[in-house]
Amino acid sequence: MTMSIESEGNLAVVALTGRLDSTNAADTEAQILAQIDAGRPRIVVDASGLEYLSSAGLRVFLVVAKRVKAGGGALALHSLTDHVREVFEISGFVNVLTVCADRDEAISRV
Amino acid sequence: MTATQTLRLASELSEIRRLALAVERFAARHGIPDKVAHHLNLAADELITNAITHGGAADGHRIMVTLRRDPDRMTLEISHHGVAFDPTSEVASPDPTAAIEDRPIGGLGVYFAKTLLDGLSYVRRRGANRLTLTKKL
Repeated sequence: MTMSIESEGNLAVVALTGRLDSTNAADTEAQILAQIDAGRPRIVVDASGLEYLSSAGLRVFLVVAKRVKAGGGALALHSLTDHVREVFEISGFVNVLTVCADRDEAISRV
Repeated sequence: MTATQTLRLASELSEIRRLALAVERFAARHGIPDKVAHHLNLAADELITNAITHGGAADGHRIMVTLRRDPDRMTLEISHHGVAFDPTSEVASPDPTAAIEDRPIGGLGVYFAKTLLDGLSYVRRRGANRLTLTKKL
């Protein structure tokens, strides 16, 4: 999986491409948490390139969501693909995490 | 018409991706919808990850996976030596309506597997755990 991060002020936009699973969840989580620690507690995740998400990956978003809340920020994801959206729906996470249709909406929500 | 393919995986998380590719190719070859292959892959990922990280899928022992296509179903049979670990036993299901603060970190994997599959069974035989994952076609 590749991760690219754009940052501006207290906002970080993280684009994930490929698979997020048990092999790379810990590393992905660490990199996003580092953004928060660096003073960017507003996190937008561009999921348009994310093809696959397992519970290990979903857990990353949960950890980030809890951490941004504590830091006075917020997390929003956008452009979920079908398989990823299904994981959000069956877990009920679609109701507790902010899921948006596009980048602009996601940025406005954090 | 029945078709089978067997893979030997090492007890490493990275092998799950190799399995996923094999399942996708097998599905494409045998006219199985992408969605079915994806559900099997995700369920297998969750269960194999659990077996390796919690169920003592013993280092040095292989995980044997048999892919099977029958007229009305596709199944994955996953066998590994290790401590007895039954993912089909009753696990407290996560509450999909709970607020973010109340969500425990962990416990979702088996729930996904059970939700996505049409059948999941476990047998322990001769020191090996054998799981059969089924999707109907």
